[in-house]
Amino acid sequence: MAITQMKTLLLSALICTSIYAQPDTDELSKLSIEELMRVEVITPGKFEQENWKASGKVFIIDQWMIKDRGYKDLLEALRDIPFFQVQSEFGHWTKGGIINLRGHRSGDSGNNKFLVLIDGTKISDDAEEGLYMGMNSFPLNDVKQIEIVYGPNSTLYGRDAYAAMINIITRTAEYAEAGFSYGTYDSQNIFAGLNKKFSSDLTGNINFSQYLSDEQDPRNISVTYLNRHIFPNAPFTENFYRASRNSRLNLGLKYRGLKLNYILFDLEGSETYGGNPDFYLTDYSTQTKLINQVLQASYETRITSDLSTEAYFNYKNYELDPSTANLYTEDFNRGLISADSIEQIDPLFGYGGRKYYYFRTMAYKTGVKLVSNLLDKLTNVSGADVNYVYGIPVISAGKGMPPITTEKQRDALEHYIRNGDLFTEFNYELSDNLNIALGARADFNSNFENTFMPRLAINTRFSNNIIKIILSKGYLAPSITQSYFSSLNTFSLITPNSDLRPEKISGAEAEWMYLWNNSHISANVFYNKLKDGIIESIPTGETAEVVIGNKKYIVPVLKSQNVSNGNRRGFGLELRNSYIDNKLIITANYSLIAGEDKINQNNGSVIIVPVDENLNSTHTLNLGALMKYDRFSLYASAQWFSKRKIKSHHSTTLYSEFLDNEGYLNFDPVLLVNINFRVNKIFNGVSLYSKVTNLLDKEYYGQSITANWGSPKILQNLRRIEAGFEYSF
Amino acid sequence: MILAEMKKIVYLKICVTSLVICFSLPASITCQVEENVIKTVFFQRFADFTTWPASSKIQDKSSPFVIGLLAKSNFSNMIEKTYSEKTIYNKHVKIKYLNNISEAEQCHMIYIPKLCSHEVEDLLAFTKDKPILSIGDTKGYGQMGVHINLYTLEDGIRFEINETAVKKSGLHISHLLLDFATIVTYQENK
Repeated sequence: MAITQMKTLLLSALICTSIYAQPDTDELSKLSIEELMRVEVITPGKFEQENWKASGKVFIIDQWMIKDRGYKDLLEALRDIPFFQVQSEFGHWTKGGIINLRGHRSGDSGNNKFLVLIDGTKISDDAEEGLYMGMNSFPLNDVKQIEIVYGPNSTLYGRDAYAAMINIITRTAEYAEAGFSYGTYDSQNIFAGLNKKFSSDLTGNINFSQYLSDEQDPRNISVTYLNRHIFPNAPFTENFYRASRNSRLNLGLKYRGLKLNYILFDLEGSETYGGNPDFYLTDYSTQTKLINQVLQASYETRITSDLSTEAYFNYKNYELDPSTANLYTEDFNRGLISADSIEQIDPLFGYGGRKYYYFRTMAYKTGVKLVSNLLDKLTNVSGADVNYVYGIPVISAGKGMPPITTEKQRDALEHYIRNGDLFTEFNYELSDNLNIALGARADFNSNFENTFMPRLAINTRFSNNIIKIILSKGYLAPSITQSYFSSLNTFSLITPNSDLRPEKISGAEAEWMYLWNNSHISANVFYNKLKDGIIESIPTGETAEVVIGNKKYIVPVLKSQNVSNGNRRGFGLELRNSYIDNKLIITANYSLIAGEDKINQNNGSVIIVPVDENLNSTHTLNLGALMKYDRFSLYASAQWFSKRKIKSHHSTTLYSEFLDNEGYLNFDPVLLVNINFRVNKIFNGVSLYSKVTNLLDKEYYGQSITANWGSPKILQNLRRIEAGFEYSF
Repeated sequence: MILAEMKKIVYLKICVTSLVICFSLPASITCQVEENVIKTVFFQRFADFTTWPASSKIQDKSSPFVIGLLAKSNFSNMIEKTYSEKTIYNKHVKIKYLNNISEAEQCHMIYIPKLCSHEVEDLLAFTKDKPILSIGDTKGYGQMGVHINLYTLEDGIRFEINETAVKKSGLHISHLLLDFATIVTYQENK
């Protein structure tokens, strides 16, 4: 009887399913003209067209991929794509989302080997810090498309487009959405966004998002906690909170050709030991607070049918909150230098003092860009801009010293940089199947040598094949911190080096792609030659006698230097294939990275460091399967990284137990499996989703810095389960 | 054991019932729709806001509403599939593949795909003073004289209307449709 009933129910489900599986046009026919115009469409062949037009290897993540795969932030999106490897999800000072690209490690200061833009405006720090803006600081709820262009791209985008350029393109169509999700470790995501067309000339948008998380269970003594050999005494070991709060606000207005946009990133992260659950008001902590603001103004107009121009002005203010600080056990109960201002900022200062940090970059940039059709098949993009940068490197007055809160303190630390550049790129269609792009850029800088960056790209297509050959150059300016940072510890004296030269990269790349229906397969090879690479905090060979507190120390003198040359080379394969009328889509990519850095030593010798001994996995493999049926989608992905290792400075510290006999910190291969299930627009525009990250709960590690403080081994993301909803108004 | 089996069956019933309910919910538009699907639906909308002159015998319900197509393609297959059992102007829809330009005279509506310029010019020259609503989806067709030209902007479908060309053909398009369109004119005086 029960079996009969079950059969009946199953048959009913099948009938309902087949009734429901009707052509889309029947539903669409009921919509009005206005409603039809609001339906978001995918264009067949768009992938092919965008790849054909791009004069470089391009990877595009569209908003459908973002939703189907459950990407919440840029870090999650970049995990799945070729040649990217996550170096650390929880970086130095709790800052998250540091990644390596094509064997180029992010610096100790953060993501500085590639350029991040939002709608064409540079978001990467103008003082080249790449600092503290982890890739998980970029939410994706209002993103239409992410374009990743690999290889040196300085010709069109300037410095920092060293290993790649990532352009986040926001949605411009009208929409109103909000959403919330909740997950493991009390993780919460909330967002709301509105893009409204008030008239044919006037559009406005507002978007807010926030991410909160404990990042782990504060009630358990975690592996990360145990890895920190320096931790306070009871009662401050009761709980361990490691938390993040990332907020982003975006306001925009567009009137005819005039655009105004304001972006605010308000980021906070801490590691807190203590009984106080308010994790930003701590008993004992490392805490980072950062506010990044970007104001963009531009005016675009068509002068003739063949000439359009854009004038723009950007103002950026990136600043560490002066309460950003470390608290050291050696300072516990030590004598204090007190000041009224310190006690007001930090009522718990009396427990032993903190080492406060500060940095700030203010940048004013103005420029003009011209896009012209010179001839029927010859187009040109040219432009010029000037950038005035006022940068304060990451600085501290020292342990127990006051925070840097006054303009007088800041003026004494600020450095001024002027940069101007001219660029041009010609694009010529020799035929429907052959395209050549040729361009160059000249940068003039007040603090370091001028640079010249040429670029040549040849695109050809035949049958269903596209072949690209790209030759280009890029450079990475020395950061304010690399040039002007100084720091005194019981184990080192880091001194400034204002004579640093830009790091340079020359690239040669070839790509072949074969497209059919909605599928493609591609292969890519690249070679990068590196020159004048900057290595941070390397011994100069000198020592210094310093006094800290009432003790004397003999410490090595370190500074950043242009001592590295080398190369990167690699090979990649990608596949996308669809089945069952696009209801099943399989994606896969494999990346192989090789290369080495040749580091000149003070004694004239050269140390060769292979890429796979510098925290890069030689092999990475990403597999994904997306199953779609009507309003349901299920995405499963697997990521595999081969082993990696790095020589560590911790051979004489408490962390030496992590190292092998040769002084290397080793990281095992790891397989990560993720699942995202989604139901679109069940009723009245509500979509539901549920996601499991690291389904197999693999414990794996990353590393953020090689300096001598903190644990070199950072536990990465444990298994997380999350569920949420989105509502489209 | 019997209890465990019963629990299992109850659980399965709940799961399947939930699935049935999910599938039975009011249909709603899925997140993404292929561009060509939306375009085919627009054909009927355009016809709803267009008035044919009496001479076109549009009111004769015994004769079909004829959509002319120039070549077989994925899009033409989609048009055929969409309108195979639909009506426009309360008339059964007939799809006619044109072997030559003169056969366009038998159509009420004609879709013009991407062609060589002279082919488009020849076709428009033949149809310009006839009540045949021309629809295209190629850049520049509006300025050439195609009545309604579809295009994609910000991931949505938009359309431009050459009002002068529409008037010359004897057709009348309602302002209700014109309000949503971008109005274009001929590139050269015709």
